[in-house]
Amino acid sequence: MISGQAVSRMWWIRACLVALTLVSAACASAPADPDALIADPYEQTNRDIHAFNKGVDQVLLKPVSEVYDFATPALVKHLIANEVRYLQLPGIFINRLLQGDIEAAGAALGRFSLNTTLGAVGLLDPATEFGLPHEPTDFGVTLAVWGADEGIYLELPFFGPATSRHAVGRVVNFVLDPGFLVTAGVIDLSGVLSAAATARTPVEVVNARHENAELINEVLYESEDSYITARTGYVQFRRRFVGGQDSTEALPDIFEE
Amino acid sequence: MDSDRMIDRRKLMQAAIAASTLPAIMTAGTARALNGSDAEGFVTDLVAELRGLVDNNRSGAEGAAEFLRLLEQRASVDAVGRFAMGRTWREMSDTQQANFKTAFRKYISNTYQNRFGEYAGEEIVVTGSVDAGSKGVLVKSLLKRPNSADVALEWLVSDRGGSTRLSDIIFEGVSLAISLRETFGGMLESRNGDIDGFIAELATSKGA
Repeated sequence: MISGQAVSRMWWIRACLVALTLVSAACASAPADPDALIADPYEQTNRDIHAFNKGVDQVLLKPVSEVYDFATPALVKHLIANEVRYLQLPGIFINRLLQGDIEAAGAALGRFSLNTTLGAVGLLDPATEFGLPHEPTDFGVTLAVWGADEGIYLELPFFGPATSRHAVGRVVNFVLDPGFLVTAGVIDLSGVLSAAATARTPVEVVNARHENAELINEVLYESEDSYITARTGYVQFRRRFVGGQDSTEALPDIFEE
Repeated sequence: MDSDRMIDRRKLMQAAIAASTLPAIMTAGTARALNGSDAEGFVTDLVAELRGLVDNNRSGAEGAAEFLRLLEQRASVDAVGRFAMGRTWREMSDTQQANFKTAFRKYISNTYQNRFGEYAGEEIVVTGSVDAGSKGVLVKSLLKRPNSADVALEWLVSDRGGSTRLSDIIFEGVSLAISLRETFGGMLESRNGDIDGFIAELATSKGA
């Protein structure tokens, strides 16, 4: 049972988080260029961080993910990709509940049950065959559902492109994830589980770099201005992710005057 | 009684609102000649034509010229170019606008030649459409690639320019027209707004 006090506390936390994203956006609401996709008042700092991130990719992520691609059998890569998605399910479930989308929360739960049992604890993905495909969401989306504004553009060290809303979402999402709670010792389980949870983040990162290798290489190393290309691509992709597949709001009006 | 008058007034308001929206609804039916299935048919044909270029291996400058001819017939090339220039368009002289149109086509041609090889083995399947209001119809398709996940590819089709034409292509939510506007804006900014320098750079760049 959720007591009245607990409910009001939840409201309070919710209001604070929404306010936090608003403040982070408001302290920099520069008079934006109406043509611009998103306000980017800290462009110079962002460009410096972008150069740093690009360096990290060049010396670490890109080579590691290429070795991973080369040295790992296709079947193993497939199982790892399944497992990474499976481990996101508790976080997806929690966020769906926070978004008030009970149906999608139920789908995440169903997917989790099927892939835990028939799917050998997430290595296989029979749920997709049963009509419950991977439908990711995160706390940034939850904040949007709660009414927080998108905010300004930020490039975060290591994490890369973000909006101020997504940046807050990333931190909360990390804490909300049961994997983090295991690692932090909040949920006290056997050493095997916490070791697996610790190993998960690097595996997830390498898997993501590998799965999007073509796109990332193109954006970072083949575009005219990788900062602008990353910003443009990220902001549009993210808006679609938050707004849903059928949203036509963001489409350009090329005949406008 | 007061309440009766309230109801009367509300009815009057409703009638007024209905009367004011009626013409809009009626003209919406006639003005929007482009429906979902027409737009889907248009994209299916366009995909087949593009497919022809790949299948016949029309690479290089000759292929690019063919591709441009196809775009002139099927896409709003100038409207996209104008959109991509944003507010700067109005600051440009007639000569600059004309030079830009030429350079923009060169840019498209360079893009085509650089990327031609990437499309072999790919297949596009039209899956449906959504009404995008005054922007036209958004036709949805899937780009099927061997050995990797499908890409959501959407085509914004409009008849606002007089005939049915392509306004934009959207890859996984990323609009080509908006991306061009951002890219061109960045190029202009890095040249401190030097329009002529930007146009020269555009014509010689390797493309999108």
